Amino acid sequence: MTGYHLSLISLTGIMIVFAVSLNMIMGLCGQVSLGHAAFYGVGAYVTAMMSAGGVPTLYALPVGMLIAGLMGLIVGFASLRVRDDFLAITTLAVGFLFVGVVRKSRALGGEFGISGIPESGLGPAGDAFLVAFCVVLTVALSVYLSRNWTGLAFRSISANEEAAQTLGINSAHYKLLAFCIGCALAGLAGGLYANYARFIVPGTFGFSLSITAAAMVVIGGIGSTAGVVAGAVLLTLFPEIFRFLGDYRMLVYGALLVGVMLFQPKGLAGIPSMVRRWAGPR
Amino acid sequence: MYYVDLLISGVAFGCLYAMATMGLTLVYGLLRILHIAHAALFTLGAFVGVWVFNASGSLIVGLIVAILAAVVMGCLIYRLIYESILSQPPYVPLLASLGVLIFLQDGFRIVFGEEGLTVRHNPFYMANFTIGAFSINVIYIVMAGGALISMAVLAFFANYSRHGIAWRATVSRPLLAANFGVNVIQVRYAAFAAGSALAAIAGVLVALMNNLVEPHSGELISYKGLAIIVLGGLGNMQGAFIASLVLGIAESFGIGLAGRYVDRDAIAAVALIATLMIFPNGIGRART
Amino acid sequence: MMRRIVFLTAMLSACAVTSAPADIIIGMHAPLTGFAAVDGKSARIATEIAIGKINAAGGLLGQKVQLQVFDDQGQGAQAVTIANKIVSDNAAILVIADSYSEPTRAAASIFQAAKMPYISAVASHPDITKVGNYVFRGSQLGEVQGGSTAVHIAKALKKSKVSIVTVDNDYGSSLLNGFKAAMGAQGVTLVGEYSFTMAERQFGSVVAGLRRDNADVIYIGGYWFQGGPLVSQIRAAGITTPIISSGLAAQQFIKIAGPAAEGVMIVDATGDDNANPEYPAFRAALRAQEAEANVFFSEIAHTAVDIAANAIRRAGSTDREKIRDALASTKDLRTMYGTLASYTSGREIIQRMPLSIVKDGKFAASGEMEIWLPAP
Repeated sequence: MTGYHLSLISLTGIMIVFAVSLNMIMGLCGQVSLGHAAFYGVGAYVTAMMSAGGVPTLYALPVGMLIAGLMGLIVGFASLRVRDDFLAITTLAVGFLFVGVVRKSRALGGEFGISGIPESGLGPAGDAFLVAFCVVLTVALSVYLSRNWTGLAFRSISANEEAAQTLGINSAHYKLLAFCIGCALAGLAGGLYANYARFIVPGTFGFSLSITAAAMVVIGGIGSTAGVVAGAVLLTLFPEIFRFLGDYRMLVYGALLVGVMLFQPKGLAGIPSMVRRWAGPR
Repeated sequence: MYYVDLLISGVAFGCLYAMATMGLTLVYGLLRILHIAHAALFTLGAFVGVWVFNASGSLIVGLIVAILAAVVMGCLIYRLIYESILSQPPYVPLLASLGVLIFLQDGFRIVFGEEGLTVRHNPFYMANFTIGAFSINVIYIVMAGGALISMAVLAFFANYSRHGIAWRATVSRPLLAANFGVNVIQVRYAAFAAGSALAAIAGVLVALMNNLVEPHSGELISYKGLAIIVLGGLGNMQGAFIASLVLGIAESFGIGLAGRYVDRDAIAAVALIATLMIFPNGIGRART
Repeated sequence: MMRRIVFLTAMLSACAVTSAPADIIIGMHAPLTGFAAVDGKSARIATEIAIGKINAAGGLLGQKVQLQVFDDQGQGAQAVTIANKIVSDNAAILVIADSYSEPTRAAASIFQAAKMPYISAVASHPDITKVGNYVFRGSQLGEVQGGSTAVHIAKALKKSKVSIVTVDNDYGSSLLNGFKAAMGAQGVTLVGEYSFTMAERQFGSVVAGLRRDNADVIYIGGYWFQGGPLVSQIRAAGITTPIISSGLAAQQFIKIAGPAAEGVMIVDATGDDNANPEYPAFRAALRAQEAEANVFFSEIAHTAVDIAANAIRRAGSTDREKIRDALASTKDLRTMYGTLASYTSGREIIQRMPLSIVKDGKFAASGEMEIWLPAP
C-alpha cells in the first residue's frame, strides 16, 4: 500500500464522514441544508489553529467537533423558524456568511488561510487508520440512530412534521439534535481534512463543497446510510475513476446528478429493491 | 456626487437583477421549484446573442436568436426534467436543477471555449452620456430601460390578457383554476418562455457591459435569484421587482462603503438571514 | 478535435507510465479543468513545447525527458492526492506546479517530506517556499510586485495619490501588503482602497469610488477575467487616470478591454517584446496550438522548465539532492521570462522587473522597474 493509496483512502474516508453527517440532517430528519461546508470549515479551522498552536491532533479534533456542533445548534434554531425551501436558502446564506467572515478575518489568516499545520505524528498509515476509525464510528452512530426511537422520530418529522407533533413528538427537540450531531460530525470531517491537507484557505469551504455533499447524499440515496457511503465513495473517486473522460468530467457529473434525480430519486440505495422487483415473480 | 453614482449603478443593477430573475419568480410561483438552472439560460442567451451578433453584425438579430434559444431551452428543461418529478419532495427538483446548471455550464465551456466570447463591435463601448458634471454609462441606461420596458410588457400581459389572468389564477389556486378550464400546462410553458426570454435579454446586456461572456457568467444571478424569490415573496412579481431594486442598491452602497472590510456575499447573507428570521415566509405574499 | 485526442492520449499515458526506465521524468500539476482551466491549458502547452525543444536537442544527460501532467482542478484536496501519487510512483526527479496557491501549498509539504525538488512556477503565497529547502519559486512574489509598483509610481511616474483595486485572494492581498509597506518611504498615499471577489465582473461601485478619489494613478491587481471588464468600465465612465496593473499580462485582457486597454501599464511583464531570441518561435508554437489566451502564464511555465533543465544539467545526475543543490546555485540564467540572477536563501528568485505598456493592441516593452524587497 503506497502513500498514494493511503491518501486516497483518507480523502474518501473524510468525505464519507462528511456525507453521512449531512445525511443525518437531510436524510434522516428531512431538513434540507445547502451550507453544510460551513461546519466542515469550522471544524477544519478550529483543528488547524489548535494544531498550529502546538495542540496534538487527537486533542484538537474533538474541540473542532464540539464547536462545529455548537454552531450547528444555532443554525438548528433557525430551522425551527423557517422550513423547506426557506430553510435551504437560509443554510445557503450561512455558507456564504462563513466564507465571507473568514476571508476578511485577520485572526483566521484571511485570504492566506492557515499554513504550517504540523503532521499528526501518526504517519501516513496512522492517519489513514484514524480516518477509518472515524468512519466506522460515524457509520455506526448513523445506523444506530436510524434504527432506534430517535431515528423513528426523525423520520416522522421528515415525512410530516405536523402529524409528528400531533403524535406528541417534540419536533423542535429532534431537529436541534439532528443539526447538533450532524454539524459536529461535519466538524470532525473538517478537522480530519485540515490534518490531511495541512493547509486550508477559506475558498475550499464554499458553496460548491456544500453542493458536492448534497449530491453525495442524494446520489447515494437520501436517508440510507449505506447508500450515502456508496455515494461519497463514488463522487470522491470520481476524478480517479473517470480520468478517461478527461475534459468532460463536469459534464458527466451534471448529467449523473440529473439522471439520478429523474430515474432513480432514491439513489444508489434504491437499486437493490429495483433489482429484486425485476427479478421477482411478476 | 459619489452617492449619486452609487445610486445610479445600484438602480441599473437592480433593474437588471429583476429582469434576469423574473423567470425564477414565475416558476417558483407556479411549481414551487427553486429553478437554479435559470442561471444557465442567462448564460445561454449571452453566448448565443454575442455569437450571432459577431457573425451577423446585427445586435437585433443576435437578441432575437438569443431569446429564441433561451425560450426553447427553458421549455425543454420543464418538459424533460421538471415535469416528471413535480410530485417528488422539493430537494429532488432542486438538485436536478443544479445538475442541469453544472451540465450546461460545462457544455458552454466545451462549445464556446473556456475563455468565453468577447463582443467584436460593441456599440456601447466607452459610450457615456454627459450632463454637466454627471456622466452615466450608456449601457446603464439601456439596462434599466430594457428591464423596465420588458417588465412593463410582462405586467400588462399578466394583468389584462387572458393568459395573464389564467396565470394568476393558477398561481393562487391551481386546482380550482384547472377546474374552471384553465390549461395549466400551457400556463407553465408560458411562464418558462417569458422568464427565459427575459433572462436571455439580461444576459446579452451584461455581456455588452463586460464585453465578455464566460461559461459561468450565470453565477451572477444563481444565488441572488434565490434571495430575490425569498425577499420578494412567493411568485409575487411586484415584490420581486422591489426586492431586486433593494438588493442592487444595497450591494452598490455596501461594496462602495464597506467593501474593503466586509465580504459582499456576507452582507447579502446577513440581510437574507435576518429577513427570514423576521419574516419566515418571505416579505411579500403571492398576490391574486 | 485532434488536439483533444492527443491530449487525452497524453493524459492516459501519463497515468500508465509506459516510458522506458531510462527516461528522465518531470512531474507537473496544473488546473486543467475548473475555474482556472484557461491558465492550466496555457501552462501545459507551454511546458510541452519547452520539453519538446529539449528532447529535439538531444534531451538531458543523454536521456529523453518525459512529462507527466496531472489535473489538480485548482483544489487543495486534489493536489494532495496527486502529490502522493507522484511521490509513491517515485519516478519523477523534479515536479513543477503551474497552479494557484492552494493546491501548490498543499502539495509542497508532501514533496518536501519526500525530498523531491519542487518549483512553484506561478503561485504567489509567501508561505510556499517556507515549507522547506526543496521548494523553489519560479516567478516574482506579489509583495515584491506591489512594493516595486509603489516605488515606480513615486520615482518614475512622479505621482503620489493612488487608488488601489485588488482581487480578494492571497495574490491581491500580497500586492496590497507590499504596496503599503513600500509607499510610506516613497511619499505615496492611498486615496482609495477597493477589493473584489474572484467571480466579480460588475464594478459599478468601485468605478463610482474611483471617480470620487480623483487619484493620480490607479493600481489594479487581479486577473485578466476581472481586469478586462474593470478597465473597460473605468474608461466607459469617462475616467482617464493612468492605470498600472499586476497580473493582467494576458492577451485575453486586451481582447476584452479593447481600446480601453491602451496605455495600461503592466508590472513584471515583457509582453510581446520579449528579448529572448527563442521567443518568436515559442509564440509561433503557442499560436499553432491556439494557446495564446494567457501568454504570461505560458512564459512562466516555460521558465520553470528552463530552470529545471539547467539545474539537472549542472547536477550531471538524476540524484534529487544534487538537483536541489544545483537549483539553489542557479546563476544568471536566461529564461523565457527574463534573466534569473540567482536564488535568495529563502529560494525566492532575484530578477529584474520589466514593465510593459499596452500599445496598439499589443504589450510593448517599456523599460525596467526598480526592485523593492520586503524587509527580511
